[in-house]
Amino acid sequence: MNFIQVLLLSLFIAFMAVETYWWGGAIYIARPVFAGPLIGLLMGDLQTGLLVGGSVEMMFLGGLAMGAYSPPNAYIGGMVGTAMAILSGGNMEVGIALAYPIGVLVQMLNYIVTQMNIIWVERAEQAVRDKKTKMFEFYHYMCIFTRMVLQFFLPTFIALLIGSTSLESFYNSIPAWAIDGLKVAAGILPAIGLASILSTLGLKKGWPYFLVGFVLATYLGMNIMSIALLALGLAVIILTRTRSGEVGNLSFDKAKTKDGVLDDKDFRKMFFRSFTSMGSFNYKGYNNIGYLYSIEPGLRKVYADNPEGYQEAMERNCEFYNSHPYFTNLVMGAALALEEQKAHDDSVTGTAITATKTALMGPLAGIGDSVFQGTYRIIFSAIGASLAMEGNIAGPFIYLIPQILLSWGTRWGFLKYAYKYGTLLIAKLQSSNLFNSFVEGASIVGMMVIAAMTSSFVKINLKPMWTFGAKEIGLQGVFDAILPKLLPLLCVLLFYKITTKNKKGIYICLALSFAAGFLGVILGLL
Amino acid sequence: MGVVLARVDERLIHGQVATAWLKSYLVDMIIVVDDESANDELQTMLLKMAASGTVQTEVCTLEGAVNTIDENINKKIFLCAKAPVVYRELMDKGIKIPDINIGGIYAKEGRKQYYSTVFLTKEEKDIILSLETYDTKVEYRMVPNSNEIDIIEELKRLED
Repeated sequence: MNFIQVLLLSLFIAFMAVETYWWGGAIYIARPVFAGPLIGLLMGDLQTGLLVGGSVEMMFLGGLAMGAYSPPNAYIGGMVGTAMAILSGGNMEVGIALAYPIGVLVQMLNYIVTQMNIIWVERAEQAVRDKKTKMFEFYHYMCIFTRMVLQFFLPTFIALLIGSTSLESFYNSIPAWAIDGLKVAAGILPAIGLASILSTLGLKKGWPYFLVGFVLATYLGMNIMSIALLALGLAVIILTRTRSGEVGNLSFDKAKTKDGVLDDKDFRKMFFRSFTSMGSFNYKGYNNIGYLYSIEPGLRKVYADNPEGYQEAMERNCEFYNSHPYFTNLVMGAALALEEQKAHDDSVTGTAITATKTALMGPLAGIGDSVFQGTYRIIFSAIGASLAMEGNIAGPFIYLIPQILLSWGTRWGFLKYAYKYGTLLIAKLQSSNLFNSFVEGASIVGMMVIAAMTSSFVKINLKPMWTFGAKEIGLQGVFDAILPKLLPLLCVLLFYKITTKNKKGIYICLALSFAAGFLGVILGLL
Repeated sequence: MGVVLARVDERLIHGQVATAWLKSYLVDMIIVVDDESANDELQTMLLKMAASGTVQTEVCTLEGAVNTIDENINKKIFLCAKAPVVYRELMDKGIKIPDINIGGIYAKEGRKQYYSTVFLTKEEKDIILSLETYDTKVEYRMVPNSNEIDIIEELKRLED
């Protein structure tokens, strides 16, 4: 690649990575399973893109962004990893080995940018007090661009610059044992992601499903898709058996509601603005400016003939805010219903509106992170990654389409119905047991899928062979006779133990994977 | 058994708590100690929903907390409150708390930033320092896997 190509590709990667903060509505399009193949396609090597993207997705499967915590960055790790694999001449192990270190570097940059953005956020808050709406919006976007440039563009550009000039010759100078070691390590690394998912989904409770999934994949050779569908059926049977009659409905008593001043046109404006609700994430007000930017069109209309009320509402909504991005639209809708009541007859106080907002944001983040991020996304990530690793072009789409449907659907629905029904909507969601049932069902599906992935995608094969007279006995054969795929299973369980018991467990697992790769090859074991 | 961890977070139960802390400590029960939430139907309902029904959740006032904890003393309990002073009062009333985790105290007028997620006023800082004489560990950690930072030691060092 020449300098211009490196520059353009880096800009593209940064633009993809900033999706969650800016333009896509947190559909996580930059996850390795989708973005890896896309980078592969752009660089003319789709196959390597699919393989690296799928593998790196598995490695990063367990890391969830929660509140102020941000895991090693899967976006840049996956995309730059893919690019590096292709630059090295199409060696997937290069991308897989580089992905995690790059991800950790970008994680550190994330902390720096999140602290730095306070500078813009304080200016945005001042602009709100000075009634300078355009300036406030400008600073909101400055936060987004600062993140795009410092956290995503710069590390990518530097890595690709180095990669495009010297990676191929460097790769060719690496001794054969080291390359073979990397290849072996690349087969073990997915176990890290699978192990960390087991703790997220709860292995202690879900182990029977894990066992069933493992047997189906190992002995019956069923693929991930068929196991996922079987698990779905099983989950529905179990849930309807144990919860019959408990599941309520989501219909509303129409008489209790009245039509407000906001219409679909306003909702559309806020819907698109809400894509940036995490854009100015910072350690001081968290998503306060993003929230205000998203709800502003609604406030403007509600307080159309009351400029003082509008100003008061703008300043009030500058306060600390943090929640799950999809549920943010529910908070916005419920808050707007109250703001409208306040604008109409002053029967609600500003303090009460803030109190409602504050009461909603924490618990809804709890549900959002565990339901949307901790189960829904993980399951489609896992299925998509499995297909991608088999070189199937459908993998990235099987991952992405459900994310788009969920993000855009909930953002629209939450905003509109929370505005209409207020906090009654939450009472309804609560009594319907929707989220509880989903989490329970999804853990069953998740456990079986992860077990199948353990069987299919963690690759450990022992080399040693002995000859006894005319008979050849391989060490791997001995293990296979006990239980095929025993070693991948033990590896995932070992990593699970290490990551749950040890604070720096993930680094120990990484070190173990590489050590096993290099030593295994040197000693002739792997 | 009894209390295994007491977390201070102004958002009480949220994403980190629901996904990381509960999974990592494998607790049987969450007790939220917050007068305002306990006296508000909506907040109580939301907090009970927050852990998605996976862990039993009770919301009680500071007054009622002692009883609720005593009744469930054979369970592994995770406490949530908005401020460290709540735990000091519980310990004064004889509740044993082995570990206080300062998680999130957010930016507000008059507070100063000490860690990325901890902002304190002078009084709040003094309350944390006063916990030194109690039989408990006070630490700053964002998620279970982060390094534990001895917050009292650090605050004392900053004072000098």
